[in-house]
Amino acid sequence: MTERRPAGEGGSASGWDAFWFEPRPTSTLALFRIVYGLVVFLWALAYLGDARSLLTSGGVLPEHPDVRILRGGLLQVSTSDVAAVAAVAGLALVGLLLSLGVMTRAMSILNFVLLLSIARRNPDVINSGDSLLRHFGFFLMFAPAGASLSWDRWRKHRETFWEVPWRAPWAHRLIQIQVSFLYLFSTYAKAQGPDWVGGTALAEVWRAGDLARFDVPLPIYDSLLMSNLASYATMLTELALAVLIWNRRARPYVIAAGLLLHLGIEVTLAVGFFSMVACTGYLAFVPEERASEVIAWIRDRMARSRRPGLADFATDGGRADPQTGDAETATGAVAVDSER
Amino acid sequence: MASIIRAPSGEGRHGLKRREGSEADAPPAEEETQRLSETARVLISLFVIVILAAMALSTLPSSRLDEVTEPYRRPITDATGLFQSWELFAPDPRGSTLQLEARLTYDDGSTRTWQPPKGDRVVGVYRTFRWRKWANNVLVEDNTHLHRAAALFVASRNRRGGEYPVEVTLVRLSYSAPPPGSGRPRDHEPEWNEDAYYTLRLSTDGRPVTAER
Repeated sequence: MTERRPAGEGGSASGWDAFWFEPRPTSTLALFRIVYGLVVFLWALAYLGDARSLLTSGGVLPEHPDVRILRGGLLQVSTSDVAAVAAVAGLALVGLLLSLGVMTRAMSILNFVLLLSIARRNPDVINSGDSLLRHFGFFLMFAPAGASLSWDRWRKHRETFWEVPWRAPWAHRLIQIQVSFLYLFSTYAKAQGPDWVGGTALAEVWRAGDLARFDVPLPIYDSLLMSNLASYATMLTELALAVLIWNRRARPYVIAAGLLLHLGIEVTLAVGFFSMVACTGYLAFVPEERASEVIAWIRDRMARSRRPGLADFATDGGRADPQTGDAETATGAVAVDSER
Repeated sequence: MASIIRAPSGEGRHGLKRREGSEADAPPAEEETQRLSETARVLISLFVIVILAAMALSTLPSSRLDEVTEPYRRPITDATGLFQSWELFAPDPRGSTLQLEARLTYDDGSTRTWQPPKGDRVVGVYRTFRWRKWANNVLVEDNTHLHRAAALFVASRNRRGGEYPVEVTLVRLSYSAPPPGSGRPRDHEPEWNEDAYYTLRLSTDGRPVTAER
């Protein structure tokens, strides 16, 4: 992903320009947007039932905790039950629309504003996963997230729906750097703790029953050796995710290790959406050519479908004949699904 | 690179063809490739530098550098919410189990206990992890602003025939699980410690009367 490309307008771009501004395919960003939007939807859905208890004047925190201008949010304006429920339900809808790429820029802005407002109304119920979700949302506002595989593209470029436009990746890079920062600063914080340095940290974490989801099997829980190995493996994996994830050859292995780490967290600890959001961040590191292949695979699958609408959509985005209203085959494209 | 391109008639199973090799490394047609102007690149570069610097500086431990940079960094992280705090079970995780319990007494002398909701392990945890997070904050001695609000919330959720409990006591329950090598699981005969750390007395219509720590 970070491989250097020749500058498009003559001469070599500087390293800075190449990294931030040399146009790259937007296929990776499209996959990230689709999954991110779905995670936001689930996040909001999980919050919805408790919105009145956690976000209103009749709840656990009757007053907005910080009313300074830069620390405010929409729920500072209205503390009613309706506003709280509307903000969370609205966020669920925004997540879905963002995933589909409907009015992507507007939805990404609304997504960030709502996530920030909800977090600021009650920061005492926010964890690292919630913060990471919001940070990704901030950077997504600046990204061409709806350029590929979106409703927006279908609406504006129906005939070339399946093509992947290239754009300057600077906002995409910020999402990647946020993933790197997460693990870099987490490793730094762990390196300050005697339990992590001594390799007993996970034994302590596993002893906290209120954090537990499924019990760690007794042979692991009861073994100091296993605790040592797991604690050091966690720190090494986090360090690799901070640094080696930028190395194209090492990346698949580093991401595989990261997925294993988060699978372990997900199974043993009740920390909400943290692992889901962190793993969504890994999608930002999928090489664009792989992401384009995924899009091509989706198109292939749709083209093989026996449902006429899907097959037509795979051919030319389902471009309707203005005369008949039927989907037509675009010039130069092959009629799809001839066996049908 | 495998940009998806339109195939000429008769080429490819479903009109699909992928660019391969050196040809594929080239960007697609100019209308599909947007390049930023020099001015845009300079402005975005400044934005990127400021944002990344603010993010990195927000992780500084208390230091002279933190004092000097905080007035410049703070407005940026406040406005964007990009403050970086990733102390995930660090620097040292706690090794004990904590539980918040509210004990309520009604005007007729009857009692009731309340604990934050706890969801099932498969789906419910995605909702109730927020209650655990809240409870852990309420259990912190220094978070005095949360104690009264928590007691009032619990009282309002436990009205009986329209009447509020006349006393709400917040209790910190904790126990330390057996250490590794003991051969016993975490929840083997836990010995709970109790610490009643905050009491709020109310009238039956829910008005706070007195509070004790």
